Amino acid sequence: MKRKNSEAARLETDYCNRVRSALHQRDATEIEEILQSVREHIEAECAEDAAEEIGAIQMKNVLEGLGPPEAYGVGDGVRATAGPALPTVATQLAAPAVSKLAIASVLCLPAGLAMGVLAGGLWHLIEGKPVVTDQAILAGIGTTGSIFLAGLLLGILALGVIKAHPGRLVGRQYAWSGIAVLPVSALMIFLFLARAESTPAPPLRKVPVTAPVTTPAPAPVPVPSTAPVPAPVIPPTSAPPQ
Amino acid sequence: MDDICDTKWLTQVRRGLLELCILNLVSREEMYGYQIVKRLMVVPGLVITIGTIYPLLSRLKREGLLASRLVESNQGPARRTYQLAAAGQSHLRYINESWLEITGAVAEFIQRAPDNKGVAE
Repeated sequence: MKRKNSEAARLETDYCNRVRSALHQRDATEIEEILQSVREHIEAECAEDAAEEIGAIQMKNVLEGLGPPEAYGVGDGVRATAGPALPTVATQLAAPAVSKLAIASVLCLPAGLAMGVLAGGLWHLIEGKPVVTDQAILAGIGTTGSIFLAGLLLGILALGVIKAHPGRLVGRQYAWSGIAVLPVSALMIFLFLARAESTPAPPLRKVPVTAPVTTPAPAPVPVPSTAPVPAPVIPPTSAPPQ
Repeated sequence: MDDICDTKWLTQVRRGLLELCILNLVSREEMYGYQIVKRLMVVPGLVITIGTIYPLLSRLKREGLLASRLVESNQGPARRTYQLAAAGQSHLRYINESWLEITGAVAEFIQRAPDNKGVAE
């Protein structure tokens, strides 16, 4: 650390005080941090000076190199000129947005599943049969597949749009998810069907033959006679004697 | 009037570029504030007031784009070093991409302008 004479030290203190004043709108921690950096800079410049002791002239040169203390209030590091400060690159450019197509693509997964169940259920209701028929299942799978296909197309479209707008649109992972749903689900169905076909049907279980189970014949229920009741014989009335 | 317009435009361009340069500088290695200033001073056309780099470094740190730490020095007081923070990496990637996209498009405009034949060649 280079030694400074009293005049150089006074100039440095005076400069730092003016910097502090220029930074009055910032919070105390930030002001101290900036001042520390300024002091470090002054030390580094002084260390490069050939003189054994830093005098007023050397210090003035160093401080001139640092620029006017009032410029610290501007805070953008570029020499202040006429006109308002420009927003930085970060604020000039809007943050990248997630591609809506990509979001729609990935949303086809839950939508496809929900609509498939709904379509199958409706078909089953319309049929009104006690068991779920193959037609109802096909209606569900067909609906789901159509929506997954839409997801695939939307995903491909989204990838193209994202590629065409680098830095402004993101969401490749959503687009790829939307694209992957149809092939993955188709592969799963294919594998399931292939496994179902290749697996031999389980042999019929032999039931051991034992004594025939005889159930006692039900006792005959007396059937009420339905024979016509003979009509009472009415003796012919004898004719009155003449 | 023309001189004022030229200076104003150049100042505005430099303001934005300074942040881009600083983030790219510290993305490669951890650097002292003094080192950053020295490196920026040799960039042609980027006329800077040395001392005012420090408020910018402070702001970038406050915004989470830079990280800093104090490193002990045997030649004097501890010195502050700066490096790119995690949030700064994605931001840097974004502004670099945007910058290349913009400059590419602008270079085409300049090349096509009738008064600038040969400017970009």
